[in-house]
Amino acid sequence: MSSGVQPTQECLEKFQELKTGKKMTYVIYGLSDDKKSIVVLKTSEDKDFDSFVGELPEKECRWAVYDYEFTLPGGEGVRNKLVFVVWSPDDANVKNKMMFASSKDALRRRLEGIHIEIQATDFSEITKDAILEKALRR
Amino acid sequence: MVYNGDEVSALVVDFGSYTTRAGYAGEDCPRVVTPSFYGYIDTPEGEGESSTANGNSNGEDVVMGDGEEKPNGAAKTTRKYYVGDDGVGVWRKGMEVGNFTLDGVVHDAEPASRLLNHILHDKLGVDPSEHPIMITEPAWNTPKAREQLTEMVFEGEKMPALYFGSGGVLSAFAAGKPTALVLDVGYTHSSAVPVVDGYALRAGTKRQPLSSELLISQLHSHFTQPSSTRSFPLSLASRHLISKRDPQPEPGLKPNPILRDDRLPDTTASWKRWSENSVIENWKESCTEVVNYKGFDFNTSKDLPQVLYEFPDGYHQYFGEERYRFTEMLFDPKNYFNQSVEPPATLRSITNTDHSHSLKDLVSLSQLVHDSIMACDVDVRAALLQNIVVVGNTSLTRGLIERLDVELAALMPSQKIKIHSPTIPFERKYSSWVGGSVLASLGTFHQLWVTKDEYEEHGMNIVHQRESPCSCIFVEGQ
Repeated sequence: MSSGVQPTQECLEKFQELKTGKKMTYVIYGLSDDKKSIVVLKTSEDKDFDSFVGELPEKECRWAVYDYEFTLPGGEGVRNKLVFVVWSPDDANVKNKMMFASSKDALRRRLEGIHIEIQATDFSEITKDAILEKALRR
Repeated sequence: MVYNGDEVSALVVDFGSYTTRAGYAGEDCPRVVTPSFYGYIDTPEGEGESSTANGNSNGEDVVMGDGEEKPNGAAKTTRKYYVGDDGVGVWRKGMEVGNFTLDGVVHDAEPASRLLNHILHDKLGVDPSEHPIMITEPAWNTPKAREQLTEMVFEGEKMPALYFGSGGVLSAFAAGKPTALVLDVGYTHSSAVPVVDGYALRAGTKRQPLSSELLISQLHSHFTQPSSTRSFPLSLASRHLISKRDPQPEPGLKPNPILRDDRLPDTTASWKRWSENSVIENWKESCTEVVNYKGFDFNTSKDLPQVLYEFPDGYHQYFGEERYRFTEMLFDPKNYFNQSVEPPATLRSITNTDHSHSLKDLVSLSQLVHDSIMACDVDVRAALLQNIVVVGNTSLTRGLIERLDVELAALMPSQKIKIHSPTIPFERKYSSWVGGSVLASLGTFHQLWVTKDEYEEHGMNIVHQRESPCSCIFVEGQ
């Protein structure tokens, strides 16, 4: 079951840029004002994880793709993995949660090459450690 | 018919086992919340034709060729239905009580369609031919129930478009989660439905009749027999049957209310039981709690906080351990479900299968969640465990969420578990309606409606098809 809301071309282009360009760190997606499509709200080259988390509003849902860079244990080098974040804070209203939850699949299945997916409802679920744990598991 | 834009004012109807919720898509809460119980009175048609007709609830057995001309086909009796708030909630001479759901599925089409008609015309006051309708359904809905509902919508009410929304998925979405394990603790059953990326997984869906109704039947037996702290049975008479209540000066005294002798002889057993259950339901909602630790011990139960509650007949008492003892069944059915108390007959309809437990093999709510998750693919288990969404009226019992947390942690100590539950009570009680309301109000969603024209052209196939993922692609390509 899905809402029928579709991502704009820009969503996919920015994702490609993030994936292949190796410049951007993250893309934040949201819904357009008329609630009919998924749009890019922000792209950034800021590598600071906290500033990325800071971009997630406390009372509204978002989706994001973050290019996560981490060091393998035992000095085996540095890796990058793409993380898809579903941000759905408890304080968002039902309509907002419902729209994002029912539209997520339309965006997610267009983005190829995502390794990790995180569904977070508060900031404690979206930490570097939580992502690292998932990154190392696979 | 083509839908675009947000102007289409769709309706959302959520047939539950205790109440049915209905209202306009896009609104925050349902306009109509009305019992799924209905009253009915059978009167024999053509007196003297057959004396067996009276006792025959559906009258389908005895027919001798004269059925054709009668409006009810073969029926020997005419049945008058009373639905909605003024249906079962009003005392009527000789009125029996039924419920059109069985095992969470709309089972009896006739009273359900009467209720739908009542909701559309009397309650909402709309012209059904102008409003598409979303109907919620359980993950285990039957093709037959779907067909009946579809006929009701297109042929009965001539509505322009229909969509069946999966209750579990809508509840998950309303909690902001494309992936979640939805535990619904309701009136006739508790169910665990794993939802992954917006689709309910049949494999992991589990349900059982461990529910509010079972709890009430146990309480009914407790209240209608003397107990260690009470030397007399309670009358459980509802206000309909009391002409003068008898308030007692002290808690615990036996009241002697004046009952409505004019009504008692004409009160059916089914209505009497329904009204008694409603009295217990009120007690249950006001008083019961779940202890928030494992291993409830009656020796310590004297320390549990008491509350004062007064029944309609005037009996009042400080209730202590009774508030906790019966709800313990939800987490320890082996020890706290008393099998010697006759359970409601309708709850026996759930049998043991891969997806359900019968009354004889009930498991705790935490075990149900565990089994549901373990039946899913190993890749999604962690995500489900961290996104447990608890809904349903009985989940509002104080302490239930905390206890579930404790029990799950004990059951799966090495796992990260997180329970999410809507904080606003009506969002928890009506979660599927609320979810359906948002979804059905979206202009972009309307490509998924099955229109009356499509139904007339393709029949039921199109209704069944549109629920599966591949059909979405088919629709987009049209």
